[in-house]
Amino acid sequence: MDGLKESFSISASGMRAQSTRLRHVAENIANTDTPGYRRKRVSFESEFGSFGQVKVGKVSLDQSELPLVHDPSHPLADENGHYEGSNVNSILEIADSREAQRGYEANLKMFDQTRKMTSALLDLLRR
Amino acid sequence: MDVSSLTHGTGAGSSPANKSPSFAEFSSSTFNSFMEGISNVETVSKDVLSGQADAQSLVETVTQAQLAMEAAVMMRDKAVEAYQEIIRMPV
Repeated sequence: MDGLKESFSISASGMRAQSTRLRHVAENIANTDTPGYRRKRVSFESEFGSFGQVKVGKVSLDQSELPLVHDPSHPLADENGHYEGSNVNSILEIADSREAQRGYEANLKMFDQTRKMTSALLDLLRR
Repeated sequence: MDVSSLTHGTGAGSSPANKSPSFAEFSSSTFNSFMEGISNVETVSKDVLSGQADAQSLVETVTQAQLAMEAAVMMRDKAVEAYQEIIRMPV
């Protein structure tokens, strides 16, 4: 029964990790127009000392170059009329959010399946 | 919830040197883990309401408590049924 019980914790940790990932995607999308914003990337890692649960590791900033946006009327524009935008690519973020959703659904299905298996096992006691 | 003692007889995952627990020990340990599951649910739902814990922990805890409850109810039914069988025996 411990194997089934551990499955619950592992699936729950997977869902937690994917929802954290989604949260960072939402932050990136919300800050698409913020000058000087670097998009955040999350890395997952296996939790130490625990039986295979996943946790969100370091959140790193994407170090690629910030695009220069030409807008002389912007308060942050330098003498050429450029200011540093953000390096958020909306298409990438939307794709990332879809992946997070698929991962979340997969973990949810695992959770449900574990629950059904446990329930079917306990049903044997009914007779 | 700990039903590992249910599988001890088949040898699945337990050492062969275990002596079988009495029914009283087994049922009390099941009951204790069941109560632990219930108190976990209270703690986690309080945390979710105050925003400390996330919804996944809540679902996980409630599911485990629900399964423990089903197991406990069936244990009780079996015990009552066994008792009634014995009582029905003609003297």
